[in-house]
Amino acid sequence: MKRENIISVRNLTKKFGAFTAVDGISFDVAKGEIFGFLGANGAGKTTAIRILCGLSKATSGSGTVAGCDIISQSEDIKRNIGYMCQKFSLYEDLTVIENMELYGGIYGLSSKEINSRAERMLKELEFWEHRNDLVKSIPTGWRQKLAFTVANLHGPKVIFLDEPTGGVDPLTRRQFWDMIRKIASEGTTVFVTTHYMDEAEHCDRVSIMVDGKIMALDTPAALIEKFGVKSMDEVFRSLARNAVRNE
Amino acid sequence: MMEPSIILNGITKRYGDVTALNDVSLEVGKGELFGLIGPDGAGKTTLFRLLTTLMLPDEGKAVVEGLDCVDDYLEIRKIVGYMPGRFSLYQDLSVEENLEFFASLFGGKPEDNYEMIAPIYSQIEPFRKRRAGRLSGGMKQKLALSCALVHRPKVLLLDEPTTGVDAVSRSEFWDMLAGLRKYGISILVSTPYMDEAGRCDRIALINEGKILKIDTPANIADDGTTLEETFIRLIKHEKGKHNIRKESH
Amino acid sequence: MNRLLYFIKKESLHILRDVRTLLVVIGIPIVLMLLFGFAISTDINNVSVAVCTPERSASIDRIVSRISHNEMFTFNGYVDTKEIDEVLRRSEAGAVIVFAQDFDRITSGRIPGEKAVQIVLDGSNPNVAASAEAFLTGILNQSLSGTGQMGMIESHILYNPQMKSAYNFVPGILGLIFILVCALMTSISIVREKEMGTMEVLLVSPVRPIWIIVAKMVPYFVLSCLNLMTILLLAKFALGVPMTGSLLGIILISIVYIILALGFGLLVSVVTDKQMIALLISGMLLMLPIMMFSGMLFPTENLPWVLKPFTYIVPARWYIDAMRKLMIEGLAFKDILLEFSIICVMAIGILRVALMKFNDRLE
Repeated sequence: MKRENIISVRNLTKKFGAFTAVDGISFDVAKGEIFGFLGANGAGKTTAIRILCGLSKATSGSGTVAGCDIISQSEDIKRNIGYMCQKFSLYEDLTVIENMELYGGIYGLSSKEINSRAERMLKELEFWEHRNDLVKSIPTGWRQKLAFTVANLHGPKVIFLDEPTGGVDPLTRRQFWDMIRKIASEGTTVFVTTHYMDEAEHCDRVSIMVDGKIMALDTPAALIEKFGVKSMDEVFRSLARNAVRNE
Repeated sequence: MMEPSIILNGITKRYGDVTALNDVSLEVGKGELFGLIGPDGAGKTTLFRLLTTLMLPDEGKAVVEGLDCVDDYLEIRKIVGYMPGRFSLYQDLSVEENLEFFASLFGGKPEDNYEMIAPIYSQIEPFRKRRAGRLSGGMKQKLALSCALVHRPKVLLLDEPTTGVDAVSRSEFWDMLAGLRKYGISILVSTPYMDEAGRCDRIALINEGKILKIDTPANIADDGTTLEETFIRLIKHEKGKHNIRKESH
Repeated sequence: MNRLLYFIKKESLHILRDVRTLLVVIGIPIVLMLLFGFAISTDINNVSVAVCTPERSASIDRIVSRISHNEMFTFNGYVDTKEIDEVLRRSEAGAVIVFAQDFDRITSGRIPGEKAVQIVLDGSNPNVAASAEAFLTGILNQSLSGTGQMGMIESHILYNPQMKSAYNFVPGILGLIFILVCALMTSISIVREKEMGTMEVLLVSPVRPIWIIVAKMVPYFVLSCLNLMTILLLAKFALGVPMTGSLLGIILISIVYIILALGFGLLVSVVTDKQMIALLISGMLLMLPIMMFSGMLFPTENLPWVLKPFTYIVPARWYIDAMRKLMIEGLAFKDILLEFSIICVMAIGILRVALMKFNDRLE
């Protein structure tokens, strides 16, 4: 099978004055792959994700995301990706279905499409009967799962998840990863950051950023073997410990 | 069983029709490092606010070092060190100004108990003139811990001190807590990270306002499963069937 | 005591570190003073004057020609009695000179006790009206002096009978500035700690509400005293406000008023938990009534009767009244005792409520 790259970047660099936040990173992510993007605080993860999402312009380097050039077609990128982070996910004073209508509307879906997709997705989640609940009345774990569903509503080619499981209970976390694996098997690329190293082991491949550079990139099993340790946690710590900068 | 430092007995706390804590009982021994492990919205922060006398329980009794959390609240405030869930220092004051201010709240100076905070504070001392708002996540956490310890509290209450901090800083933080053992401070610390449980003497698993299990990490692992497996089994058992409970933050 | 000093030091650092806000707080009084002072006290020129006379006569023509030759005035034609109000309202004339029937006979003393001329002025710009009135009176007196008849001119100022002039604004500005600096700034200071989460740590310490309140008040009090000084100096030396009254009285009542304003700010911040709401409350609930009900913009006597009672509960009204008496009318401290005691009572009341409402828990 021919490997189709959804994300492909070469020598991506971002400088803020004299400070190089992202220092010449290159990698490819394939269609349907779950790609773990790890790094200590301040390693440059957030800056890199912003460039990939078309929110920030790279100082130098090139790349494509979902077939769009990250420099010249940053607006087109936004239409083809989904984004979810831990801090902001859904509007608390709107109901679940109102949130979905809003996001669907932003991505230019017709209300018929929104309704049919929302119904299918919420029924799959066994949440259809709660569609008219206000988001603020829904437990945190459920909220994260809903936010993920909403980010996926417009059928993006790649979905960026920024610490999606921070602070959720282990059961929900497990269910969340089941959802991630499901959409990946359906062909959506998942680009995920996390502080949980056990989650890193669920990824197809992971990269670990230290001081703006990608210091390791491989499957979790290969990395564990290469470093001669037992877990991703140890791999991460042995790399991150050498970090010079601290935010 | 060692002499208790914190006793919670049948504590229930409601916000309107939401039950944040449901008949919670636990004991933390003197000098013990006790972990409260559970997801967001489990009721961990509410429990801290009851112990720090910032809130009043609807039912039950909470005692810290022999002092009642309702009747003796002014006395309790003198002997606890508290680090709330979010960064709560003055961002526009420098590192040393923050430390000096928090020491002065208790009528002291940073030098009074310097030996105790030294292992932690010395790491950020090179930056003592820097504004707290411009510190990195790990350094903020160290400063917050120094400020919570500066008056030599008998009880240290840490609400999710490691949330949002990377794996390396988290590990360092637990080393610092372990280093406090020799001073006999009782420490109650909450975390959503299962992998941190092993650093505690004993842990309580909490979900949706209920304590699911209290034991040493070793005993929980003795069941032949990981802590996470145990937690998932207990949550499923508690829920019985799929239902959504309203909760609060 | 040591703890309190540290607390005050910390509050002062907050203020000093926020240089932009600090500059605004110090700059606003100066800007307002200069703005109100000089924008309004500019010299008048080209006031158009209309004349209303039942009959033309040589003496009247002489007066009209004197006015039109004066560079301050332009003669704008004759109007009918019924049109006087109209031309003033439409700003076609800034003043109308109305000659009496039998003007010549009155001025020559043949009809004793009658007024010969009336000046009607548009008082919407009080400074212009005041100067115009003075000059017109002068011209008329000169013209009539030959006849040996004085006191025959009667002038009316429409729309603004109080005749506020430039320095009349100074007490109003003081009343506003202290609410702005003290109430607005302090109302944010406690709420900010709630929003930042630092209040939680403060509460879980032996610190008592009274300390927090006192420590928050002191730096703003000092800042306000500084403002008071600048305003008084500007008023005296830049605007030439008489300030013949009791200086001690001015300072005393200002200090109590500053404390009252601080109390308001603290009360607002104690009962709210968002900076935005605190700002709105102190903005709407404190500033608006001051503008409307304190006599700063319009005289309280001119308010509709339903609104008049409100002026009694607006502290700024008492303060501004007292400051007018002291700064402009030159009265002594004993003449403002009523205002002084009212402000004292209000200040104590507000502080007590703020302290009572201070919650040393989170619920």
